[in-house]
Amino acid sequence: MSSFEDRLWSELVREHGERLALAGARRSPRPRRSWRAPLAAGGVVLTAAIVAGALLLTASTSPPAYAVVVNPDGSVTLTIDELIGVSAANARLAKLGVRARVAVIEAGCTARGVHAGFPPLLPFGMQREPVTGAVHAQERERVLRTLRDERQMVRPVKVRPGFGGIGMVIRPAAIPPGDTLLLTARRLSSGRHAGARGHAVGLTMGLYRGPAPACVPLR
Amino acid sequence: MRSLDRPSGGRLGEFEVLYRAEVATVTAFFARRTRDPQAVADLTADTFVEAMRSFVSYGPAAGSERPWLLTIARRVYAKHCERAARRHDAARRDLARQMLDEDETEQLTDRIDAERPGRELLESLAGLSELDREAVEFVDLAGLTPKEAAAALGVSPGALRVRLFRARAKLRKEGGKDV
Repeated sequence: MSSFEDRLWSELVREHGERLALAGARRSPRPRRSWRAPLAAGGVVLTAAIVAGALLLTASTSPPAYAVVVNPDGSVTLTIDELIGVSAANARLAKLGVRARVAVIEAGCTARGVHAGFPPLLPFGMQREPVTGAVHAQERERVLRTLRDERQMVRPVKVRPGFGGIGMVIRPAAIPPGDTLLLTARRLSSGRHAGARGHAVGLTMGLYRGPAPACVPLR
Repeated sequence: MRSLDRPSGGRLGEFEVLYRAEVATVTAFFARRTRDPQAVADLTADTFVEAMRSFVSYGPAAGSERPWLLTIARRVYAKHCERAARRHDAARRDLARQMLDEDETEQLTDRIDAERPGRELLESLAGLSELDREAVEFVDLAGLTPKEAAAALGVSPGALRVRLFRARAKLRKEGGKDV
């Protein structure tokens, strides 16, 4: 069994297995996360060390809504703990000259950008190009190259135990010229993702040609 | 592999047997529909999440696990296409992109590559209805009996045989595919 299948099983058991394991018994109130949630959230929380160096831009009496930290190697660590911090985080990124923005995933969003990632998926029966070995090899190489490039651009970091803070280490120099790295932010419901705040903000990435959209539609 | 998180007690053990027996079938089902490894991973995960949720209440009868899972996979894929049609797909990919590492992507790319003959077979049936194509897929590629395929596709066994005959006749007429 491949590592994908092993990992998927591990995720399934962790996130959804309790009901089956306790079938017939009282259901545990332990909160569970979906398969996507941990990584959709970036699986990331800030360490105390990073927090200590963070530029905290909210009132000192309340936890910071966001933090933008310039690291010694030129990378930038971005953390969003409240959606209210998105605008200020974007302003800070712009001021630093980083071609990365944060957008909120929201219903009713009509903003559109040109995605620079994988080509759009085609519904079954609509694959137009001939599937030749050469084409497939090219596509495979392109997919792997894209993933490698993405990891150069941004990677999540986990620092605080539990589920509550989200951080992404951005390497501005790795963002292709003319493109904008978009980190999409969504408030994860408190019922299933309870952290110290009772909720968390998930961050995931996308790459756009030119400017990134100001928001991302809810699927 | 054993669960890293907790013993496979209760009905979890039953589901683990089902998962390990059928995950390749479900992955192949999606690998015949998209060449994006991330999409294959997401759709496979969605299918087993849904299966896991309904396993206690609506689990399959013994021996009918594969048709039951493929029924769920069809439903998951239909929802996926609806989302794509509503142009919400880009946002969805944003949510999922960080999930696969390079090794996993390579493994799934291999799986997608392995399904190329099946994909070509189904593409050669593009003139037929989706149900006709799925009749061929479920019987000739996924290994269901015609009766199981009929149950999975929600048609009578007689109707399934008619669709299967029609699809196979088209393949023979167009030369080439030996099914």
